[in-house]
Amino acid sequence: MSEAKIRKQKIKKDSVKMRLVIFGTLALLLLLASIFAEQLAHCDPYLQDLSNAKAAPSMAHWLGTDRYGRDMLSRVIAGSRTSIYSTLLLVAIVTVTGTAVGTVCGFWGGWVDTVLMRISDIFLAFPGLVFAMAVAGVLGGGLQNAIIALAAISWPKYARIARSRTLTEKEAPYIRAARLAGCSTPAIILRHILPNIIGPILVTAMLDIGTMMMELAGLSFLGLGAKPPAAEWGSMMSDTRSLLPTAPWVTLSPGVAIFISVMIFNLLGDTVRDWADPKSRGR
Amino acid sequence: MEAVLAVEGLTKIFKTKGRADTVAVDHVSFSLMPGECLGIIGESGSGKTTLVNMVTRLLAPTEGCIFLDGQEITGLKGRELREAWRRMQMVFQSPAESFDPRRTLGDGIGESLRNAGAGREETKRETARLLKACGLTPEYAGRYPHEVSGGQCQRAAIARALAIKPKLLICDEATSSLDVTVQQEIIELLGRLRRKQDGLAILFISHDIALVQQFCDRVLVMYRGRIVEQGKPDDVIRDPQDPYTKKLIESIL
Repeated sequence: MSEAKIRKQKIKKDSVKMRLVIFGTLALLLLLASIFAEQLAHCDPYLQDLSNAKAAPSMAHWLGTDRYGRDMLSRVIAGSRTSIYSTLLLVAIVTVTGTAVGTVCGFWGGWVDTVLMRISDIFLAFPGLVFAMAVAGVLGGGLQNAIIALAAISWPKYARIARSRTLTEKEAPYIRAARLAGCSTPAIILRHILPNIIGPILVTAMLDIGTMMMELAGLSFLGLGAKPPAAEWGSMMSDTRSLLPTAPWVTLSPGVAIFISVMIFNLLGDTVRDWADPKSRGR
Repeated sequence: MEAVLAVEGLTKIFKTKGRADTVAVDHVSFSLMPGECLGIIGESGSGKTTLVNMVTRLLAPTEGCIFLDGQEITGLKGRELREAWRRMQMVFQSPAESFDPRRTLGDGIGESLRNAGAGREETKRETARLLKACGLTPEYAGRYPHEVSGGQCQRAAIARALAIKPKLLICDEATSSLDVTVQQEIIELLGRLRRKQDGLAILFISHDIALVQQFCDRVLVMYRGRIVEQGKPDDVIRDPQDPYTKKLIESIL
């Protein structure tokens, strides 16, 4: 390989690392903002001030106030806790259950595999958000039920990835070597199979954070997620959409917040995928 | 003296829907004495690897019995089978793939020791000793499989196989993926280790008749799942009886 080519590869590798640092930091900032939402918000997000309703953005209220005179900036920051926290919780639930089911199916095969995979087929056969609406409708509104509904439709994707990766890995010679070394089946799954299949699953999870955030906001927008007055970006947009012509900042600020966070998590997911790809890593 | 490994009437039939059954291994019987080195040669598809997989219990036989050290291991499961594996280890054909790509060589070598209850320090010391005995430096314990050459990786694989001092070492085409000079080094290493560890029996699977002649005390020739000829390597090569063996030897000369 020529020196120039090596240098080019090195630059590419470095730029992936750079992007990882940038987007990782941004995502971390979002997380910190959601954790310290109460300290960051300079006004009480639930404090009403009807004399100052629908005020345009000013020095006192950077993003203006809504129809009850509540400070929008504080509400957006407070909403980040609900939105980001519940999204991450949802992604974590889905990743863990999906991976567990898929690994078990791939490793044992037989009737366990058939039964669990047919169940996942049933979930995959429904149009996702419609099914989630049905579930949320049956269980009633509320953020917790929205999470349950979205988890129910999202796990099969992870189960499929985990299963197909397990199927290829379990026949590898190093698994047979581990057997001969006296590892029990749980030890083989935890110590050898999981570390080798987790890469693509984590990348999918990262890429899904954005989608899940949108879907949660979507359910809230439809009134099946967080209930007012709780500050949640989706329901905030839904409640105030009639104000769009007269006080656009009230609708737009949670919308922009969703847009920015979804974009940051999507870009982070893309970067993690590039970074996890062994071809882009130094061998 | 009791045989380390005895195999009686071992058969494997692969059933595929809509097609005739494939008889991969057909009533194979042989035994292996302590300290002996038995070679099995045959073309690809002759059932060598299927035979080995059954002997190591990684594949269930259709018929037949396997005795390790006088104990029948054909039906063992779980803990008992893991006990049996302590006396029987294997070196695989593809060295790099036989190590977990996400773990260091040292992790792989020490795994059987840790599973047998050895502590962290003890495992580390033993791993270093094994690496040295196999012609590598202890630093290799920290390397990943893709960072070393095929020959070095195979040395580490031999170190791993010998870690819990097995009575039987199975080499399934252990030298086939290496180039000729490295092949020779690995063979010399195996010979040295065999002299060092008294009573280590080796089952040496190969398609290279010259290697088998150089290294083994006895040889079995497999063809289409059956043993067609056996004897001392020199005798088999000088005076082959079976038509397939004749063809095999003619093809080399």
